[in-house]
Amino acid sequence: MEADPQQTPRKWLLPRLRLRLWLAELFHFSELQVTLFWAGVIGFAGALSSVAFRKLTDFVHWVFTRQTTGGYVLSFMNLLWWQRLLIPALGGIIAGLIIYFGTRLARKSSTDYMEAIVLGDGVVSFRSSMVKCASAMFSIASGASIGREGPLVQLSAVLASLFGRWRGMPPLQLRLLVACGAAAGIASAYNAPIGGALFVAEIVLQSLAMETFGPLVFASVVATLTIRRLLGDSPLYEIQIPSVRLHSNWEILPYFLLGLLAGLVAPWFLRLLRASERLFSKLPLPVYLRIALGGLTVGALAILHPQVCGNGYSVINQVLHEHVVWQVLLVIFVFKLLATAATFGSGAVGGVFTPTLFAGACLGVLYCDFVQRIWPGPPLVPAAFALVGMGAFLSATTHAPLMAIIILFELTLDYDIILPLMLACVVAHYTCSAFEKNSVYSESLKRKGFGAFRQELGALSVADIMRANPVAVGENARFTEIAENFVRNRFNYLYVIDDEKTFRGVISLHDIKSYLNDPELAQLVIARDILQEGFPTIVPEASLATALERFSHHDGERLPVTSSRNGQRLLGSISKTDLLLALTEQKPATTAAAA
Amino acid sequence: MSLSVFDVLTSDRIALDLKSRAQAEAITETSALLTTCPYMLDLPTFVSEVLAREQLSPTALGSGLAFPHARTGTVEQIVMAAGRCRDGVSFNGSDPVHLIFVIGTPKNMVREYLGLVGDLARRLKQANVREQMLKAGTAAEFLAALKAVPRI
Repeated sequence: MEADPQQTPRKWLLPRLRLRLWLAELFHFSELQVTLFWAGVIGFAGALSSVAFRKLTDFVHWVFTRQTTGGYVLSFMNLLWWQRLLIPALGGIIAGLIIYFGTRLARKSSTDYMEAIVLGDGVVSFRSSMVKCASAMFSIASGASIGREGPLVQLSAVLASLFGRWRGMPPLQLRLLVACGAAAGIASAYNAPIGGALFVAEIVLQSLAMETFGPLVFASVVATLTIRRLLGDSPLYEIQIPSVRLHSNWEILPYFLLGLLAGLVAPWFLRLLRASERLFSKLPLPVYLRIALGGLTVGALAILHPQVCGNGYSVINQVLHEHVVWQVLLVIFVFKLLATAATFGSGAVGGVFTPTLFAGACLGVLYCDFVQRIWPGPPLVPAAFALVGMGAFLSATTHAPLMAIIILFELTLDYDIILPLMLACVVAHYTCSAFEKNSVYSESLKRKGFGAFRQELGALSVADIMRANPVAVGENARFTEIAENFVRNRFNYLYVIDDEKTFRGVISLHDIKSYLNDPELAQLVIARDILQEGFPTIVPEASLATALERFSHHDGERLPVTSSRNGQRLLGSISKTDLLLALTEQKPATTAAAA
Repeated sequence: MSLSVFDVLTSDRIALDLKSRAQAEAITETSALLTTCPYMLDLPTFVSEVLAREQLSPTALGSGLAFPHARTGTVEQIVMAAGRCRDGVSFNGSDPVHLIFVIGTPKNMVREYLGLVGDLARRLKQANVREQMLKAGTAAEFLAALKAVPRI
């Protein structure tokens, strides 16, 4: 048989189609597995962006201080008093100017990175993110009392969002990918893969369903492996923890009380941050002068105690390894709280996660010093109380005890600490919840309309998760066109429509297998010869429950959505993955409604 | 187990000397062999569906072969008839067609149809098979020539 060159598939088409078919039969890939793959890609990209941000920030810090010795606190110790005063202010002005002019370019910008991972529709603005990250870089590099994890999360999230949009992902999958970016950011910042995944699952998604948790874990693990390869096994913030061991079960009691104390103090910490925000917002100053004023405050405090500069890790390390007189520690603690409040309140971009850990560590050590005086048992280990204090305070301020326990465990990798840590974290969370309904992240969650989206999910119908304009071929489409569509897209069923766009049926990838070794034969076949009729469809008005029921009788990954009027006009398609993601997120709303 | 060409093409469904020289007539003449087929429910409708399908996209494959076919509700099983015309029939201006295989498929037998047509096409790929079929003096020889190719 001589093949008609016009109707014969191009050379590359058949081998690719064979490979596609082989993969489909071997692995039974669904969109969920593919999401896992992209989660890994995002984990890798997130880790690279973290390393780049860290290096750039260190460079800017060197430009400001000409110091390269380890840690920002040490840098500031080596500076003259006027340098300590002015450098944070100068950094604040630059950071503020970036926001001032950046927000003119970008439509809007917030100083809180949490908005990036609160997801919305998964679209994270690139410009606004770059503005925030650049601003954060100058704040952090000039010694502001704020955490680096904020911009790291923002960077990873924006990369994920850009990537997902480039891949044309629908909103629900885009949201999940952005969440993966956020998890990768946290995992990169703390060398804590489980903590990274749990941070996003517990605080943002509020779900541990495997459909969403799996990709988060994958992104976190890949990010952590990448960071370890590039920066070594040690955490980005290295904390060397002395071993902690309970000598008797009674020793758990002080930890229980520490949890209680953290739960009582944490609401005041949150109120301090909010009060500072209110105070700064009342000042009739442009944003760059406000942030500069925040920087000047940090600088003024740093003249006496340079420990207030930076995110607080070096001070945490100090209290973990050295004995610090309680009076000195109390002053540092108060100064650091003021510096954090000034930085946060002024609108500087960054994270409050690490400053929270600092406050918890100081609280733990001060508490230990006090208990030591009346404790009848063997001497208490201040470092252990510092660690448990960090976890308890984090648990209370974030309202995420599980994440707090895991992050602290990952930071220390000390199993002996786990019992007091678990107890104190849970007690702190319950205590704080009694006084303070909002977590440190609640404001941004609300601002982004997180609650509203949740409620909408309860009333979602097929139309809401439908992807419009699905790939379809006409009834008279030739084999080449059919094969090209199968190669270009990942699905196993290709929709066939007539001239009026009425849904006629599907072509199954497995059906056209017989043609793969007979390219000449392909000339013979048009879509109507091989389409399967009677394929299940769904109407846009149907509920998600109906869609789930329909999928339970169907082995495909997608269902065609057809109009309930005007015959069976093909409107779009829904994917099983989108449906599962929507149902996963629906759960908390249902629970909340029931409560 | 998929269908073989010889499950559906029997010697009584082979016309070795088609009278018609025009496409539609040749298809109709070959289809007429299915009159006695127990799975054929409505021959006139079947023929008109095959001709309509032919209008959409010609089924002449080159090398003197054509596979006019229809997915139709007028048959209960896959049916096939073959017609030979040594002088050749013109299919929409293509090279002369010498061997015509008319195929009818029920709507729900896509995979069986594909298997069957694939099998037939593979056998007819070989020039000597086609030559033997053109030379065959009887329907049995015609089938034997097709059968001589091991099923791939």
